[in-house]
Amino acid sequence: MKLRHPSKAVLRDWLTGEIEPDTTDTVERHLDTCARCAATLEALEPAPEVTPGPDSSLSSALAIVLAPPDDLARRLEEGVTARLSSRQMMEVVADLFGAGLETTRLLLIEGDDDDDS
Amino acid sequence: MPAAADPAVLHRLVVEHGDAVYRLALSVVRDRALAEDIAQETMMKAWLALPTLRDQGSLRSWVLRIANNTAISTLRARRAVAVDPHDLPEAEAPAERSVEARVQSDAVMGEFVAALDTLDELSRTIVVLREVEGLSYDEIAAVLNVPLPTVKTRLLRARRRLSSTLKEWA
Repeated sequence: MKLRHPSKAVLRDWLTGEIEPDTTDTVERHLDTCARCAATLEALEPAPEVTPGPDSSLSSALAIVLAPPDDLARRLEEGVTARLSSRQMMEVVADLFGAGLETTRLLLIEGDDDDDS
Repeated sequence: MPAAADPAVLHRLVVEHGDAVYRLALSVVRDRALAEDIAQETMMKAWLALPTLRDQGSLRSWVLRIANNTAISTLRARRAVAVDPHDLPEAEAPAERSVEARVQSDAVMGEFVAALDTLDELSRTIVVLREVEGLSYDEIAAVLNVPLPTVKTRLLRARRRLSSTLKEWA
C-alpha cells in the first residue's frame, strides 16, 4: 500500500521524538523514499525552541564520547596478525585431516580447554 | 601470510582508518570491546581484499562499508543468540570509560550520551559519519547502502536531538 505524505505536525513530532513507535516506523518507511517529505523536513528545521548549537559542539561531543583507545593502532595490528596466523593454522589442519574449518576450530578450542585444566 | 598482504599496507590501513572504523563500529554496537573486535575483523578483511579494490581513491568509503557490514552482522548475530535482553550490547556504564569518566561528571554530557543511546543504530552511524568523519551525504548513502533521503532525514533528527542537549555546553 502506498503511504500518504505525513502532515507537517507529524513530521515535527518525528523530529522531536514525540511520536508513537508504530507511527515512527510508518513515517520512517515513507521518508526513506520520499524526497518531497525530506525537503519539507528541511524547511521545518530549525524550530525556534530547539535551535541547535554550532555543529562544532556536536562534532566535539561525539568525538569525546566515541574516542578510541590511545594505543588502538598497535592493538589492531597485533590483533589482525594473530587472527590471520590462527586462521592459516586452521586451514593447514583442516587440509591435513579433511575436516571443515568450523570443525577444526572447535577441535582446536577443545584442545586449548584441555591444556588449561 | 598471503604474498599480497604486506605488513606495511596493514600498518597504513590501521593508522589512516583505524580510528574512523572503531568510531563507526562503536556507534552501531555501543560496546567498546565489541567495537574493537569489529575493527580488527574489518582491518583483516580490508587488508586481504585490498588488491581487488579497483579505485584506490575510494579506499576510505570502501573500508567504512566493510566496517558497517561487519558491525551490522555482528549485532544481528548477537541479537539472534541472546535470549536474555541483558546479554545484548548496550551503552557501557560511565565508570568503564576512561575518557568519558571525566566528561560524565558534566551533567550536559550525561544527557548527550543518553540522547545518543535513544537513537537507532542507523541514525547514530549517519550523524557520526557526517559530523566526525566529514563524509558527504552521497558518500554516507553509498557507505551505508541507504537512499539519500534517509541520510538527510535521519541526520536532521539526530542533530536536533543531540544538539538540544548541548545548548548549555561551552
